[in-house]
Amino acid sequence: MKRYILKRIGQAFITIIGISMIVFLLTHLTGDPVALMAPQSATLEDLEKIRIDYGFDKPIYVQYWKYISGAIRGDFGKSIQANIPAIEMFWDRFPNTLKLSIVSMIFALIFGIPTGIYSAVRVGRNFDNFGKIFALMGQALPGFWVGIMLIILFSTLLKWLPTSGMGSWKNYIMPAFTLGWYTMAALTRLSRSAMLDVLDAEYIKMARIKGVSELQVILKHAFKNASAPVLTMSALQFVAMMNGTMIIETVFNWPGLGRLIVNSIFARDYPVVQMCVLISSSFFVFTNLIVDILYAYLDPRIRYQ
Amino acid sequence: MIPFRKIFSNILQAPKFPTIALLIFLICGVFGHLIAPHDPNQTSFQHSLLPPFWMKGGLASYPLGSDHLGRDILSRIIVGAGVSLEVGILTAFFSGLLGALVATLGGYLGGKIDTLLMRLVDMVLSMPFLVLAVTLAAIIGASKYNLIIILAGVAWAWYARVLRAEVLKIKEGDFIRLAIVAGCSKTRIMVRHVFPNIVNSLVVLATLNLGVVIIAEASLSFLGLGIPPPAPAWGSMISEGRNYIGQAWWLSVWPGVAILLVVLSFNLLGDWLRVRLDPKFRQTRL
Repeated sequence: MKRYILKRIGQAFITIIGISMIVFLLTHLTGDPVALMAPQSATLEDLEKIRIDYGFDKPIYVQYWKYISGAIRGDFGKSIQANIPAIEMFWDRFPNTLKLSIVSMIFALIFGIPTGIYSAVRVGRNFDNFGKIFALMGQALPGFWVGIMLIILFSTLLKWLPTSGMGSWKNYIMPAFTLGWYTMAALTRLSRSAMLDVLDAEYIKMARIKGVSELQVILKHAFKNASAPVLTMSALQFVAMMNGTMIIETVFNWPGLGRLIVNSIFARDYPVVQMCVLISSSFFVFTNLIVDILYAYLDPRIRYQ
Repeated sequence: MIPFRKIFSNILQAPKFPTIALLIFLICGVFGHLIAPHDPNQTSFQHSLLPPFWMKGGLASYPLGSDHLGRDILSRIIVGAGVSLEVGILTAFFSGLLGALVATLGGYLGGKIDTLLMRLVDMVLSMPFLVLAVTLAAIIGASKYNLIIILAGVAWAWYARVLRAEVLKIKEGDFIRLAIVAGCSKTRIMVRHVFPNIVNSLVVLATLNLGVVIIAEASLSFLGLGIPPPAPAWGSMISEGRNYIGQAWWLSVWPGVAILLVVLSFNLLGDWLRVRLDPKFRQTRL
């Protein structure tokens, strides 16, 4: 077990180093990072000043070392647009994205898992078919379009909910639904198939023969055993929401990290973009690591592979 | 000899709705400019923001309405099908090929090459897909072919991960041992014995991946980092419609319906193919 954990930590570490290299090289992709970062109206002196300020005149490995050692200390350079340390912008926006993701996740969990369980219990019946259609739609509809449809329906036609921004609890409803829908569809599918695997087992028949009530059989005997993949998947989905926030926050004008990335890309503010990609990837790798270790702890077969 | 009769009878057994829907979109994509009732980029200010034909003020010549520049929405959707499908199919093709190559090399040869390739796959898979694609699009510039390179450059890792597991299983087969005994070179075994056995999985993965790629392309176009205007891409049509939500809902509704139909069809077809081509899935319920 110890050996497995150490091996996985080592792998995660190498992955993060690799990602940092890719992220670092991204801005060097077109040749001259100065031309990429400078505003279009910059003069030759401005360009030279940026080159020296950001250390682009030094060899590339020196630049990488400077970047990575700074990043470990939490120094990702200064935002070109706002002229403040990039990490401050991160801490400014991160809580908003976290709040939205948590609400979306809660929404996905309380709707997705019961739908999946009930679909498995009623397999092949109307409810199951309805659940399947719902899950299929969740995967086939682009999030930004769903968001716009909700705005048309609930904001412009019915005038129930605000279209954008962040304020009262009403502002959370549409973005959280839109962001959480895909996750909910995934959780419905997964808990349905996990439950179907378990419901055939002998001990479920045994419990029924013993006269345990149907509700107890489903929740206590079956779901308890089906819950491991569902919960680990939820953890990964939570981190993967990062992808969705970029689109959803643009649609609903939510002042979070996703919006920060999109704005920074259009403003050519690459220190901020690099920081966001690096932090969110590290977050993802870290969650993956925890999930793997947890899995190995739960299932001894994985440890000895 | 290609078994045309077998292929034809298989097509007849495919689920009807997705096959027909995809055929229609494919025809629209290829002959879009000939079918479309109007030139998709023809602006006309006297016809701007016309509602669909059944609403008051709608015209039969603009059946789904027109946008803020007076361009016919139906024509733009028809021609836009070509953009979406071209990006989707070419991306799936190149990423699938690259993924299969990496999986065969890594899975069959094993050792250091495998470790190195799989680390690379892990890295690409652990970066947020869309964030990476958006960053790349902003840096190397948005155009149709750049978009294909970017999406394929991110998507191949997923194929490699799934197909490698397949290769590891195939590698243990008796026919591979026989080939080694018969004196086949490693290259020959990989090309003639391993690769043909992962083609089925590759086709299934590619069909399922097409939907993801089409949504990713639409998302990039929606953010303004995909197909540059005035080309009619569904994602950018939805994005343009955002500014007219209050007065003209049809601008953003129809392109979304088109995306939904295409992606749903690819997913349904992929699920059917998976069951059809892969005997081990015939028993499992998904």
